[in-house]
Amino acid sequence: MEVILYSADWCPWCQRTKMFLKENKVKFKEMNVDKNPEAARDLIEKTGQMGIPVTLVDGKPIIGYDVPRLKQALKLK
Amino acid sequence: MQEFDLIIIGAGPAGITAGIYASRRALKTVIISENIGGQIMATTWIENYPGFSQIKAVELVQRFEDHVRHFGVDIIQEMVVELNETEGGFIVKTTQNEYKSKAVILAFGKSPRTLDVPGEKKYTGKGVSYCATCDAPLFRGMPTAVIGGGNSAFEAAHLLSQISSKVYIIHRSDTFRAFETLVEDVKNKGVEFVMNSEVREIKGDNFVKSIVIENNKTGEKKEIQVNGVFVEIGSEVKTDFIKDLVKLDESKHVIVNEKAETFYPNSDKIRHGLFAAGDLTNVPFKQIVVSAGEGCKAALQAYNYIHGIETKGHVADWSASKK
Repeated sequence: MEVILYSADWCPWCQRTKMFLKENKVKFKEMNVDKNPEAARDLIEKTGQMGIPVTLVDGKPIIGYDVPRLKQALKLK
Repeated sequence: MQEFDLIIIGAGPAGITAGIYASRRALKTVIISENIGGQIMATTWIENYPGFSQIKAVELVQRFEDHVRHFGVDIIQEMVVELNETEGGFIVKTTQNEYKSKAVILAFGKSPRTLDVPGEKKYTGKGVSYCATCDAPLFRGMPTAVIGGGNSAFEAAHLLSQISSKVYIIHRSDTFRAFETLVEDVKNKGVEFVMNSEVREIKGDNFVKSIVIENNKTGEKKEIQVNGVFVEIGSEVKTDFIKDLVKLDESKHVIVNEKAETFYPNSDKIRHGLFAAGDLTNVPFKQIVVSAGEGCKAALQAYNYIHGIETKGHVADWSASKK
């Protein structure tokens, strides 16, 4: 399962999403849209979203810190 | 249907504190909330909560969550859409399930106020944002507009001025509510102020391309090319779904007494079993510590209600020494 988190350091909901993934021992790649403008362009192209956090689970975007959807996509209890 | 002694709707400081107190009184308690932390999460640092001279908002929320879960309270992350009174209690309906309880504490706080103009919903997440600290980096090199005239609007404009190619502040009045130092700072950064103007429409294709604004003095309309619209016009209580259950004030806040009890609409009769705490109430001073205190009161009063204890005068509560 490939998990990519689009985030920024000072975005509180991104930090919550990161904590959630770590707590659930989900391996993920973080793309910082603030430090890396290419990641921002990538996010917009892949998801059609101009907001963060976005978690891509096998290419499927989960917008915001949405625990029920994250759990479902990551097959967590 | 799952049944509880107490359902708390909302997981901000009021709801979390209510959960802690209710669980320590052995009430079978659950918190139902779409998100955890409430409006704290809209800020970065907290510097006025006792015990923490400076703590990241996200860390304080994590501590709140860990604390209430430590006492066995589950947080169901679902959106509440209906609340109805039933025999012996209340039914709370979410987008996914229904739950029953003997008592309910309303603690779902406030939500960002929306513009309610054509295009706003369609372009939310596609150029329209309610969180500049979250989404600003995605607008690097693009023209953006901030709607509002308060401190949060100017903080957003300050942030965007370092990222965007051009920043406008669109404000419906001819004066700002924001601190003068903040206004000066933003002005010096080249942000353009568009006064006495209101957004009438947000236009675009897949993403925002422009906004139509109208001068509310002259009626003149014009279109400004922007890719980002940051709505910073304050917050509001979304109490419409409970307006037939409880008494609201003119700003739609739930009216409570000193014991966090609510009233029937248009009446001074207490609605037993239904309590409210935090930013959604008419209690002044919207602060984390105030909300936490009100949440505590609501939980203790809910306990008294469930156990048929009448509170007269001031009663000391020693439960803090018991686990």
